[in-house]
Amino acid sequence: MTGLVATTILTASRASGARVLAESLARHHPGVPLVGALVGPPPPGGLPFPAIPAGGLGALVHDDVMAVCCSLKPALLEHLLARGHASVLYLDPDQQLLAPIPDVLERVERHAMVLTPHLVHPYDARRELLVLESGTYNGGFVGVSDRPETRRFLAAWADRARRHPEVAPGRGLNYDQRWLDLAPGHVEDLHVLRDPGVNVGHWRLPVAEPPRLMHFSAFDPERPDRVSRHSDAPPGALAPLLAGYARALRAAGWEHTRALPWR
Amino acid sequence: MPAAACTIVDKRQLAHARVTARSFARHNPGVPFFTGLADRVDGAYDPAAEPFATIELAELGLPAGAAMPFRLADDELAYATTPYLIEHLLDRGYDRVLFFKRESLVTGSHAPSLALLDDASIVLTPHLLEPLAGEESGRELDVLLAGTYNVGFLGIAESPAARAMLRWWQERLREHCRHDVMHGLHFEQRWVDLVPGMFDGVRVTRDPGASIGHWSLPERRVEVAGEEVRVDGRPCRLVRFSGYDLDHPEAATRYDDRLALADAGGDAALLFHRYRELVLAEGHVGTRTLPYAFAAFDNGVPVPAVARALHAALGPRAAAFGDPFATAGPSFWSWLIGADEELGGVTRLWASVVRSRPDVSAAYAGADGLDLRGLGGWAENTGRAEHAIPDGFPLAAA
Repeated sequence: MTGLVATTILTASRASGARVLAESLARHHPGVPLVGALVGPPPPGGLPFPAIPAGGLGALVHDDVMAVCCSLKPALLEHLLARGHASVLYLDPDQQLLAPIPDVLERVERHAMVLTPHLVHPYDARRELLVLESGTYNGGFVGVSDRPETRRFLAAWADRARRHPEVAPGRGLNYDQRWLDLAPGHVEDLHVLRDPGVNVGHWRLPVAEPPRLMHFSAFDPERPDRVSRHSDAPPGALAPLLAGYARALRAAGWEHTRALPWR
Repeated sequence: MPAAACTIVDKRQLAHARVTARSFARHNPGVPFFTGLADRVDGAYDPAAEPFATIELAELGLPAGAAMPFRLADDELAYATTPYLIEHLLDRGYDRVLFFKRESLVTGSHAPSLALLDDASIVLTPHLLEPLAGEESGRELDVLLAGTYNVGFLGIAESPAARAMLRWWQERLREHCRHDVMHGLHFEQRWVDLVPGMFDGVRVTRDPGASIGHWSLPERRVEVAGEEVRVDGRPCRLVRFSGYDLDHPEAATRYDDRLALADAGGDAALLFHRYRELVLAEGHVGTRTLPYAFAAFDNGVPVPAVARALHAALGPRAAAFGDPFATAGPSFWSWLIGADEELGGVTRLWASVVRSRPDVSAAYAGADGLDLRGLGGWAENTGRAEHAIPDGFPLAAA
């Protein structure tokens, strides 16, 4: 029996990001263990945390690596709860902790489920419609604690994510993410974490305060002047942070792992 | 601290509003009930004789520049009016407002809804309260397209957060209140998915008694004993009949052809039949054919969807035409029937239709431009019906 564990899902090609995440977690929360799930062969040089082979979690057999990784998420959370962890915080491997988040971890431990909305205040219709298409809550951050209603949600989520491993806005699908929109109805003790500095991706820009947990979604270290492939917004105050992340990725072996096969 | 309740209809659903108002009053005496009319009275009925206070659209302060009664079709206008009516009631000094979308039967005291508003700014009711057993994902996917919350019920308490939410929702619905699920839109409803993330004090109630409807009937245990309705053993205070067609009383809703009342479970069928009888008893046969004020230009020609879309596409430039329903002098009407700049000889309205149909453009493309005779034949034999263009719009520009 342990308390909180952090987890992520990666392929060998995402190893550098996962190493940076692990290093940032160890620095700011040395007491929180990280356990990964690895899709495909391990990266040369290994990983600084234990990684569960995805095959052992019943990963989907599919040609789309995003479909495999995304549909694995609910199964991984179920698995870690079943192993006796009281609470689990899933973070995408392109997240980096930039400051301690004890209040966030405390909420993950206290509530049945914690989700972060893409948008914590109104922006404009265009951005809001993109979020409605892709999902209210960002799937790169999911906190769960072992409760019957959490287990019930995860079981259904795992089933649906495996059954519909695709992106089809006209049918209400975006890999695993859109199913999270059902959580407010299914989970009484869902906590919607509206901290503007937690799980900050291109969808939140510009940001008013320094992020504590940054989600470098679709960031290209060869273009550190751009926040994301999905955004032309100037990085502004985030520029040093992007440059720092690009350096950290390279130091963690990005050049050698970026093109590794995932199967 | 005064509370108020409200609904929104156009004249053709007056009987529905009467049922909602009377059923609300029966279980919630002393709380005033208002009906927002997404329409004009135009002497078609006597508002003073109704079991509710009528609030006409003109009182709600819809932004004139947005020309909402013209640009939005009937149902869209009624849905888009929701945040305007709620804010209007806050402005009148009611500090808690309960909104019931049309096709609602109140079956109990809403004291629990009002109590939730003691420490919440906005109360929402999700469509689904648990994963569906044996679900082949059809109904859950329907909810993902339609919205997490059913806005057949909304509770709003006077607060900065509620005001901010209402203003935001008003602004979005001016231009984006249509069914376009490919792009994340389901009329007014899907926008509300964003509300718990963006505004303070949102309370999601999972009390099954807060609202039931076709989307959740197979999961809920509905019991009816005389006036008393219970769901899963708890008092039920609202039953929604969204999409229930009084002419097809055995189908629960036109939105789900798989759900027959016989399969809905428990006593749900009793409620649907009771609701139908109540609406008919309130004179629906007479009121359903009352003229909708925004259906036609002032010359009597019905407004086709393509004309609404063209006005919206003009954006602020459309304001120069003034009243979009007017047909005298230089008007939006005269612009519609004027010659299109590219497809000379064809009116702008028909040119827009032709441009939306590459197959038609290709079929009648001649060496010297469009074959107008051939196109005219298509328009009269096929195009007019396919695009619901009224006879008042000729293909050829004068």
